[in-house]
Amino acid sequence: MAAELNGKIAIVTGAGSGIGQAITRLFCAEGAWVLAVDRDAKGLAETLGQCPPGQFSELVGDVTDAALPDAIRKALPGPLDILINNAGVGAGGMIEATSDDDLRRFFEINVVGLFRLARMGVELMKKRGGSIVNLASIFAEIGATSSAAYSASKGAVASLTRQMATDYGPIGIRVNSLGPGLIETPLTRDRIRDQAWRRTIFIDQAPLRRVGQPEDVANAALFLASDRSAFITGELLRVDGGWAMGRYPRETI
Amino acid sequence: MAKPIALVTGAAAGIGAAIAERLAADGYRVCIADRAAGPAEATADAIRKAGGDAFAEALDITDEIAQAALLQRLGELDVLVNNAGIFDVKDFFELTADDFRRMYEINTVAMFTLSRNAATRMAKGARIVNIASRAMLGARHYAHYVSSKAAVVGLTRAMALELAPRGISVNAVAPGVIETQMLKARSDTNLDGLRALQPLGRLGVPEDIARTVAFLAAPEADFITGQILLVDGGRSLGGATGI
Repeated sequence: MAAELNGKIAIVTGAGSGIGQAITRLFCAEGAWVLAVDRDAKGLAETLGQCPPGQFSELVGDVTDAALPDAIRKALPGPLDILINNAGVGAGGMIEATSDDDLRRFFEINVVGLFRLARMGVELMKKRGGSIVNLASIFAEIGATSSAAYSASKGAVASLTRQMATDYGPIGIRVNSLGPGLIETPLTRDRIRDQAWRRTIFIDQAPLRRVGQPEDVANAALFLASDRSAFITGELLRVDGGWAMGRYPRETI
Repeated sequence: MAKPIALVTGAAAGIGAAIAERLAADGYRVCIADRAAGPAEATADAIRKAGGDAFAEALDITDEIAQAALLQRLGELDVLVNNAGIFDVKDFFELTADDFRRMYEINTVAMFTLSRNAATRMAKGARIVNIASRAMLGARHYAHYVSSKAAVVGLTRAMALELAPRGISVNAVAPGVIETQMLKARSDTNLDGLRALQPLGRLGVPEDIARTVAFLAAPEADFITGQILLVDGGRSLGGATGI
């Protein structure tokens, strides 16, 4: 399916690494013009080194900065079609090990930052419609270990998604979220390598017996961003190798 | 390289035909299975005229021997789309055990037997996509259909888990209200009324379902299994006040 996003203008936050990098690369390859946003200039440079020239612009900025939406508006070359709210932080601990400040930090980045950009997104899409894809997590739905603040923040993203889909469907703005399982990114690679329990839960006991790759999530983001999903809104698409169905020890077949 | 083979049941018309057309456009050789041989042949013919690769097979979906024979003729199978199903409207107090049995026999049991027989022939990377329904969430005036589709959801997840070690993914698409001849023929249906309940302001078309099935059938969905994807235009969300 060549050049599925030809002529579309997209924003991808957290584009400097991992899932955001894979989404930016795929969207550029599919013909979109992408505004790649990340607070890490080096990561952005790495991402954009993988994209054809003329298909993107970069914006160094932090989603916790209330001025970011204005900076994004100025950097867009035309009407916005697609917003991928991907920037976020992960990990964390049990609730006893989570301070108020830890919780605030997770919410400031994963929820408040995303909320602000989603509000900007609907304002920019009001005339022509568009597609917003929020990166939630399978942790929004499943009680996952040692992630009190993270799981709560992703639950907020999933319900904000459904809420916005209800309000903005009538003017042609679709809002969906993705529920990745454990994806191997620069942020998670060390944890997967160093923490045996993580490998047990997310690989040995997971139905497909592997963690996901950023490309797995990028493919699903492309589906939700494109007109292929024109009749889908308010949904959370799990990209988790079946992990949400429970843990199952290996058995021979 | 040989084309991957897709089997779509109930593919002579409506959603099934749209799925077959889409998979053919995506490069599959598509087997159009339907109990109605003539319409199945016509759909296959239309796909061939459009440049696709398709052939028709008459199949009574509840006949397990016929299922096995069809799979034998196909040889290899890369994608199975379990779309065949029936629907009818009957109030709760009118429904009989036989209504329930017939509904389950076609919508659920046949899906199970065909999937089991197909999976034994499938290689790593093969896909099964089941057509469930938004009715799995509950609906009025067809409890037998609602529960047969809820059973499809459970079956999908169970198959996803049991077939995961073989590298076969199993997912379901749950369509909302889709404009098909089957829908338009329903006397109890007020299309405008239904449209008013849709956050996206329109009813679905068979192609909406076909595109989603094609996504789940493609290599790009390799990390997705056991998922039930609603394709309902937002119908299952809370009602909007409008802006």
